[in-house]
Amino acid sequence: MKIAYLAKARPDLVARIPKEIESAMIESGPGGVYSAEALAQVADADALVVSMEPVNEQILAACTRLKIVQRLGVGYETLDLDAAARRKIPCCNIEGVNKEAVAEHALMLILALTKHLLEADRLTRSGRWAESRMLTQRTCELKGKTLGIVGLGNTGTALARRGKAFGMHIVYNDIRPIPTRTIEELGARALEKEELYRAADLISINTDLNPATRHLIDARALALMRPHALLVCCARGGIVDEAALRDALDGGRIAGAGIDVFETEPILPDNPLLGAKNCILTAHVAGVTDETTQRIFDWAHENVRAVVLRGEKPRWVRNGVG
Amino acid sequence: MKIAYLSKARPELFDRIPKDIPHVVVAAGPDGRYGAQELALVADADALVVSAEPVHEQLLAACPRVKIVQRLGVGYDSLDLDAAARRGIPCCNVAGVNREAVAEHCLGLMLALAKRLPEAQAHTRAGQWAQARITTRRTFELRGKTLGIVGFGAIGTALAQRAKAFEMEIVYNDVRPIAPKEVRAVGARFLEKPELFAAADFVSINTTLNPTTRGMVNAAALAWMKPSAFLICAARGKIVDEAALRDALNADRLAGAGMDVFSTEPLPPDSPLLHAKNVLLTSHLAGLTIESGKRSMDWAIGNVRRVVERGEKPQWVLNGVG
Repeated sequence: MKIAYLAKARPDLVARIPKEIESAMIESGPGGVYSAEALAQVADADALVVSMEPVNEQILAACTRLKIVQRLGVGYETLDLDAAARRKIPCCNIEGVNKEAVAEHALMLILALTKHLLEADRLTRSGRWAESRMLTQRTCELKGKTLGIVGLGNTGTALARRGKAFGMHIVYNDIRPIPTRTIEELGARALEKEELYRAADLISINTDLNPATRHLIDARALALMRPHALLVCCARGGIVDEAALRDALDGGRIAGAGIDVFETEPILPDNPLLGAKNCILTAHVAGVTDETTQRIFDWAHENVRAVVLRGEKPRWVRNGVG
Repeated sequence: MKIAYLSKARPELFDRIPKDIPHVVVAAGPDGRYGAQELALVADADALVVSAEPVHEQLLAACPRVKIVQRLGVGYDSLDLDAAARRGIPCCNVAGVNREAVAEHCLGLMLALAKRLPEAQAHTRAGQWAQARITTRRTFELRGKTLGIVGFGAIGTALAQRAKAFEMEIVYNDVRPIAPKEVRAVGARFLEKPELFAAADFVSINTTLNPTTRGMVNAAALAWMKPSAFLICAARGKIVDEAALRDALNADRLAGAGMDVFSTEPLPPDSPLLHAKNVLLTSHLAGLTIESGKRSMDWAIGNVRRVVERGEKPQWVLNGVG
């Protein structure tokens, strides 16, 4: 069995590949196009195991022995599901594998913002105690605040449960019906998106990236939010309009943001959020810890083995094949 | 009614002082004693409202009209309870006023340490995406980990409730018997201190400062802890031996620490913690937020009025008077 890994800037991944797996690792070039050299390395692959690189017509045509396309995670918007379906190749993700890790990261960003943790640490260790104390004119409690969750799926629900334990009121928006049991457990209230933006003190984006959610959080949405509101996004780059967010932060239209995902990753040096105030940025690591990375790796490879070595049906098929 | 506020110059406090009550603000000298000028200013005070300054024999002898000593917070180690009791003056704090703020701060520190937030953010902002991903080999989820809470009072239980929603195991230690209901509510388990320190992935100190807890977290206690564990202290400085903590951290016998309180405050430039790796330092602000600051002042002034203006019994008496 030969596995082709499609990954960019993932040295943490390279280290996890067991020596006994025959493998190659390639990445796409500008515009998501693979070079001839790269394709030559993977032409005989039985499986594509995908970080965030695209799986498109070009690479599918080059890998004639392919039996499965397996994402190393939850989101799968970089996979051309139809192109793979036409070739009878299942495209699979992994469901629910890192929902708690993402929820924890979102809450960490929220707490780091409400408590100005990084600023406090910086000021305290540089001897500016009095200035650090003055931060308390801007720190606030979560208890009693309204947490608005856009996308109440696996990660949104895990976040809501934790938010509730902090004494927050949960409001949400989701295009799908949510099980009554979940709504009751959370004491959550459904709101139209505009109402949610107006009502919430803290807003977390937990949708996937699809045509309906691209630039969901644009200048208009940000203008509806309260001036003291905090926005966190640990979902996908492209849901939040980065230039609009930078404007909103500059203009004091919202108070702060925690962003883990970007329209282009790795983050480009001219990303507007790099210059934004009160904005915490992390490198698409919300769902990525030592344990989740290993768990994702293990589950992905188990699915690949099941298909390639044992001819079984794959789990988590997203394009209706097999 | 005249109030003497005992506080160093702190703008964030001054903003909260009710302007309609005649008052003065005085502070003690470096030796903890009040100068003649300060004593003259407080001579006709009906109440002492105390930020962090000491209340002792010298001060009490100078203000014969004082009917209540009221802390603007929870900790009361700066008050000589007996000296006040001998004069029939109740010493009061505002118990519970900041339990959520401190619990939230502790969780924020735990999350930021588990996810190496300062490192993660620094790498991301510097465009070192790959390096940020490598850091995730040393990050982990709170889920399934053990939180050891030393001091299972108002703050400790508030922390436990929140940590339980993160699916953490809760173990605790307290010298007082804790109501079984509190323990059951979070599925907590009692452990003697050595066992607690050995079992925990996070140890959070949430006791008061008293003769038993002074220096409690010393080299021996730190040696009980796992090298992968973290220490959180948002209680009082002087509970933790800071040089011992620095040594443990720098020798990788402890993974990290989040400290909000220090044996000397403001944190001096020669503090051992400024030369320790893997620490987050905040300037004794865990319990102070916009909400809790207002709440503390409201509760404190309410208690003062209760005694001075209405001749009623005060709440939150610490020294058995009235």
